[in-house]
Amino acid sequence: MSTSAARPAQSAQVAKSAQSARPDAADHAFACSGLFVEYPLRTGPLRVLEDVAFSCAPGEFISILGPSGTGKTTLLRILAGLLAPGEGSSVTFEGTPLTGPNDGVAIVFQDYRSSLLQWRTVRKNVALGLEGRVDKAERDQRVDAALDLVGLSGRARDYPWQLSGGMQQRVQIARALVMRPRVLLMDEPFGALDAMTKTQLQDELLRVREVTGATVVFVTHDVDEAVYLSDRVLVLSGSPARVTTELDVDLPSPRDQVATKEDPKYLRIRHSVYETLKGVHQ
Amino acid sequence: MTAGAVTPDTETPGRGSASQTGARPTGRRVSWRPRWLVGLIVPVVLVAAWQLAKSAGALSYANLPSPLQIWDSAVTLTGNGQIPGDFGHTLAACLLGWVIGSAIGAAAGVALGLSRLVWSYSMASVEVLRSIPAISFIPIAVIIFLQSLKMEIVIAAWVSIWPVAVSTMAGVGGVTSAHRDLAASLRMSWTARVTKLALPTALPKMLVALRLGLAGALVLAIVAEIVGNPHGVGYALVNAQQQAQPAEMFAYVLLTGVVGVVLNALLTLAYRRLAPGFHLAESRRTTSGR
Repeated sequence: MSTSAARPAQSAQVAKSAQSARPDAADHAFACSGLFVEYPLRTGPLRVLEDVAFSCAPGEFISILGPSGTGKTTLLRILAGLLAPGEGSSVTFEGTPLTGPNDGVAIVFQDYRSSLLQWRTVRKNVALGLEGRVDKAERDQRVDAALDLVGLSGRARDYPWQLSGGMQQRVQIARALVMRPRVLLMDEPFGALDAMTKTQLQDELLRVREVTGATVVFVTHDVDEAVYLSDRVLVLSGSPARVTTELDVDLPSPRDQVATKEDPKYLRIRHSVYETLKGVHQ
Repeated sequence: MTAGAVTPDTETPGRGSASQTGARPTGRRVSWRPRWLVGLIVPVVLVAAWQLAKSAGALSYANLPSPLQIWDSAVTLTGNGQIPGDFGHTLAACLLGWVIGSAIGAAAGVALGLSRLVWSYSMASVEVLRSIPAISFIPIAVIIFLQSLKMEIVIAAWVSIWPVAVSTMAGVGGVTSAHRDLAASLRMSWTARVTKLALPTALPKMLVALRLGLAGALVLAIVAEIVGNPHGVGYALVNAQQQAQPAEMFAYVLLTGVVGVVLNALLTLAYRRLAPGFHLAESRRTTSGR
């Protein structure tokens, strides 16, 4: 009794992360606590993330928001299993400690141009992850469904470089969806697109998420985008960075580019996010 | 101004890049066919001049045949089956050696490009071996394999290995970090990474090397026949020389040039057929200056 009571008192940090992110296993898609990362530099290790703690419920749409260079992409790469966090960090996926890339997690990278295979048609790009895993009939059927979901059925035989930027990003999304992921990790997927294409793809993403029920972890530096899309916004800031603010976005869905963005509640949340970020810069 | 007039053509997908460079007016494409025909003017004039000079007695070399004599020899030798037989032999040796050598070269290139260990242990040897002129191995090959078709094939293979190995190594090492991330996140197997990412990335460099290797294999096969195996085009040349038949020699030499051009064209065609997306993506990348 006495030992368990004494433990939280030992370190305020441990107590804090235990509260916010130490939930019971499978109730969570991702859960991390005490997460840190260091990059080895010639001058010594550079700590990029420190004591990052959050969790993400299945089916939830969370955005990780922060100024560029804070380590948002680093955090996403850790969740994707592409980068190992510092020794002693706790990161779990569906209750199991993360050791590498998982089936059930798919990533959409920021730079569609360098991520797509330029020598493959759209269709074969989407099929890439299924090759050698499912038979041809199932593969064809799943690729068709994924292309249909992102509205690219008519361009299946074209090559990526024949498509606009927005369409190329749709190919990447289809390539992720075809794996039937339970979690979709997205690294500033719409950052390079023009404003009109961006809003269009935002709505398509919400629709896709509605259809698939996938959990989405969405990295962005665009405040409006984060608030508009998410159920919850995590603000990552500081150097080394940590999750400084968590905001629930309890806006009704389906969301609408006009109505939602005129909703006083939307404006209030947007306001407080900007306030938080202003504090960061001072 | 002229470029502006033809812009509708550049709207076609895949050709749009031409308009981006701006420097190349599309009007050129219209004149492509005439230009190709224009290329025939020079050889025709030269051959005609040669024939005239020979007929007029202006060329005093007794053993320099006239184009008409060469033509007659070519027709005769084709009719009696000598030219088809000799070229068949030389081409078989050259192509077989080239295929074997390229396969070895590609496998070696993949190993060198993907394994730091293999690279560290082998690269010094590769550099030394590929610096030795392949032609200097012919006497050695003759002593080991005697005067056989096998000797020719080994020599043709040897010369094909190195360009393919070195360019495959460089190409395979060029897989981008974005594609490595993709492969990791899709949990692609090692084989899938090699066949679906590394080799396609290396393909443009490999094609250049394959063409280089094929040209080298043809040359070396003929040299091997001149100094070693008494068969094929090389031996026919030596034979014609010893029998003082210059017209026959010219017929063989000129036909070898034609064969070389045809082989190169076939290879380019095969490339466009087999890897259409790659070919198009590449030409786009180069024309748009990326």
